[in-house]
Amino acid sequence: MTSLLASVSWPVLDRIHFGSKLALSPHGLGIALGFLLGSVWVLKDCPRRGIREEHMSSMLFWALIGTIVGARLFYVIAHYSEFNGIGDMLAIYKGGISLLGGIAGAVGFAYPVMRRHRYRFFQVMDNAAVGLALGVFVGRIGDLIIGDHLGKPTDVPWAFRYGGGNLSAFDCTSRPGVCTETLLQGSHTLTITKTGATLVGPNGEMLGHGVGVHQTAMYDFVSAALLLLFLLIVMNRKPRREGVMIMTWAIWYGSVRIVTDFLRVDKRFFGLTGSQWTSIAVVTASVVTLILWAIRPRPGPKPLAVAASSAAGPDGPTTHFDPPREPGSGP
Amino acid sequence: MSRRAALWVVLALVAATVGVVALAAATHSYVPLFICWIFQAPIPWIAARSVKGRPAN
Repeated sequence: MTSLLASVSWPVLDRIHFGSKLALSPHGLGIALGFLLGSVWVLKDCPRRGIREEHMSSMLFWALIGTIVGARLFYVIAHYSEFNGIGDMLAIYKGGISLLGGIAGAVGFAYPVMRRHRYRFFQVMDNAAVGLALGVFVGRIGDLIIGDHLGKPTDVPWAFRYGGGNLSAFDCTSRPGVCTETLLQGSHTLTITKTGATLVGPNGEMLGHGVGVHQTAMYDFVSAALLLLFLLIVMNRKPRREGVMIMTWAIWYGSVRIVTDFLRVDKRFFGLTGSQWTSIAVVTASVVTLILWAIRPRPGPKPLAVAASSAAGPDGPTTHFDPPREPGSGP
Repeated sequence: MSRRAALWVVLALVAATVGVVALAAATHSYVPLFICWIFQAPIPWIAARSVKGRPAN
């Protein structure tokens, strides 16, 4: 009873209807707002990184197209067996997108524009780091409104309890007050009611039960809020080597996804979800690069005093100075 | 607005957003969640003031 009182609950809203023929998904609205506000930051910040606004606008346009293509493509690849033909795969309006796929698509589509204008990869990606954190922070609100990314049953005080409405991908109409979702090609069934949640396995065995389920989108939302503040307050305090900002973002966001994906009921490859494998690769590469950079300082021109000292030899003066000649003193 | 003040405003807006999500849970209503976007909307403009004139690299 105590855990029931301590749980999180609200009725979800899957669509905002305008008449009988037009409907808007809060999920899509959140993603659009997230991209828009992230882009505003990127455009505001790009001049101090030496990027012209018109060039960045062009990159953002292609990034937007890449986000839609990549988000759907990654989802289709990770859930290939659930689709019936190419038409089903292209029906993005039915739902099914991947956040990491969207980011990968955005980078892939914007990269040729980046190179055409002769910008460095990390120069542009550092500019995007805060925008990405902000975009996730804004976009996850849409997931909370529609009740997306519900995970395994749990009794934790912040468990999400069904409060009414149509949950995305769930059947909430057959039995009033009961929502069921068949997962992993029908082998698992997640049932959520106003008083509890259960996860049943392929042979009818109980795999988990609780007062509610893990709302992994909420964990991502809180993490993105902290990451946004960390990048703005701590990382932006002083100039950093190019690449440090985006790799900090990648390590933080990737690590959180590795942990929270264990709480999801999702298709797994060798025990891990597609997002976890992607995150492991990105986090490992970022950590190794940052360690190497810390061990081996940035190559570049030596500071003036050090350069003069080494030119003069170990016993020479630390600086070289030619006094001006007196007027009329001759050559 | 100074850089420090801009950061404090961003911090307040982020905290307000998280607070509104808590309010949605407390009132058992999705309506406050839409208000989150009102608090989040000014963040990029105000955050940009916190780094204005500062070298990035």
